[in-house]
Amino acid sequence: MLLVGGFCITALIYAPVLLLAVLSVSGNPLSGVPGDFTTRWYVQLAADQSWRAPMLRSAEIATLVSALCVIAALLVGRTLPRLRRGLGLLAFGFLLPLGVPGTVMGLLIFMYYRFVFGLHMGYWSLVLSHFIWAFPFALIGMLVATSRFDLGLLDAAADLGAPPWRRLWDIERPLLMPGLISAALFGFLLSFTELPRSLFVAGGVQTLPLYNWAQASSHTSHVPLIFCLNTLITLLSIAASAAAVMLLGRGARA
Amino acid sequence: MAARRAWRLSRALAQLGSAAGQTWLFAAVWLVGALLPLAIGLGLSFMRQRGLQIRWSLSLQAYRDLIETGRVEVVLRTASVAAGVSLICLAGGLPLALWLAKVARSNWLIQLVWICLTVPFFLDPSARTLVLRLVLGSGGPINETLLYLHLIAAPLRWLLFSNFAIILGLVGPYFPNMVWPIYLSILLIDDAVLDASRDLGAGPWATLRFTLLPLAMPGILAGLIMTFIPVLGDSVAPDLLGGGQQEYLADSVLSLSTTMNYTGAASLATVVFTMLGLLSLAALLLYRHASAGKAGREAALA
Repeated sequence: MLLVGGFCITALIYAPVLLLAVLSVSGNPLSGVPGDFTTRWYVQLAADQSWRAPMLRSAEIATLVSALCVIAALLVGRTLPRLRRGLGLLAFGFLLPLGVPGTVMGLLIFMYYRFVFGLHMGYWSLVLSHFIWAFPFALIGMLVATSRFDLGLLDAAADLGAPPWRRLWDIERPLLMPGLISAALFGFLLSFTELPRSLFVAGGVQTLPLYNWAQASSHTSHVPLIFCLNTLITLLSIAASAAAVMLLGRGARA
Repeated sequence: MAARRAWRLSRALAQLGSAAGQTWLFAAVWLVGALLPLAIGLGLSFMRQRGLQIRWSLSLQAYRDLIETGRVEVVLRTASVAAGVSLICLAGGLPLALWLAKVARSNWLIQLVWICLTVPFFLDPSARTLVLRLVLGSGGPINETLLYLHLIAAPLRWLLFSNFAIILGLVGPYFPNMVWPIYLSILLIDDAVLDASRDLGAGPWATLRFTLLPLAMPGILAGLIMTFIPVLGDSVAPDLLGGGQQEYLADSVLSLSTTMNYTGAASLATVVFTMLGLLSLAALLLYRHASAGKAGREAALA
């Protein structure tokens, strides 16, 4: 009975997404009423060129952010639970950006690098600001895996004569894999859909969320294509999230 | 002396080879690259700006302008919307988290809810909001249906371009931010504690009130913070669902920045930080007070 509220809100997330998909195959998506089903917009999307460059740009940036997240989360996540001093301070410092609203963070990153270092915004600042946004999430995912990790296992392996690389590969790698995968996924997907920070630090580079926002705010003929594009992207992120949950769920039970 | 310093330096360098050393090195880079920008807002807000030149002299001019242009009300208005969204998410999220952590038994159902609560982090901000604008609009399906049923005589104007629309557009996407922390904190509560409460004669409500809620309080506070803060900075819902009639925080930050009023933008950021700091302090004190009260009761019982 009490769950009704929770499920209503969950429905509030998915009803628009579902409607987006239905409208993307409707004759007149901008009316908000489904009907007159057609694949016309998808055919137009395939022929349209304007979304390709932003899509590619976002994919590149997201891949870079994902790689950075994996490396940094692996480094920090492995050592943080083993530190004797400064654990609370470090964890607080790494998670602090979560406490800053996105638009404010974007503004501050822009002003800091522009006025203190005199740098011009561009590709690098997108990667940096997305990394600052995604790293805390990647770290949390990694810490879930590493804080459960029993260091005794490594000692046992060493006593049984395993060289360092075998300890790393045969013992740490499989146990930390869920953390690594979640760091990579969070890095990629959070960067791929990041908007509030990008508004300030893009410096002329157009990412996919920036493109989508410009299209959604204006009343141009591209709008029906946005429905198709976002339906496809949403399907991809649902598939990726489902894969991650299955994988992490399996890791949690093992 | 010099030899000792050299020895210390070589030791410090050797530590950089260790994992802990690398972590501290990364922390230093993080401090300079990601946390110092937070301080720049505070510094810049006390500067004076003339044209595009920022002058390094102390001034409260930026704050005076901020008050005169009504930006403080913008912050408060956005905060009240964010508070409304957070409370709605809490009301819906607490029972869901409790059910997910302690009641649900079916494994596939749990995983399904997990997936449903993960996907929203990765939805495109415009995609998830765009459809709501069409649905709520005066020619949209909701108004059309109500008109068709003769429940209303004219399209409901307050459905779109209102606080109602903005809250509706924000509750869904940020709901998982509320559920996850509460879920994790309830998951960590040992079942034996709840059993003990029942064995001692507490009904379900008493167990909820005196055992579960106090133990889940860190998660509830974390959930409130994790919902309130991103909602405060959301730029899409005010833009697509607010209709530009009223300004919200993201609009203000953007307009100050595009007009290159950087000291103004910095002082706005500082006002937001001050508000967030005061709220966190209040939450912390409330939490301390609650735990102290609990400890007091336990002492009295003993």
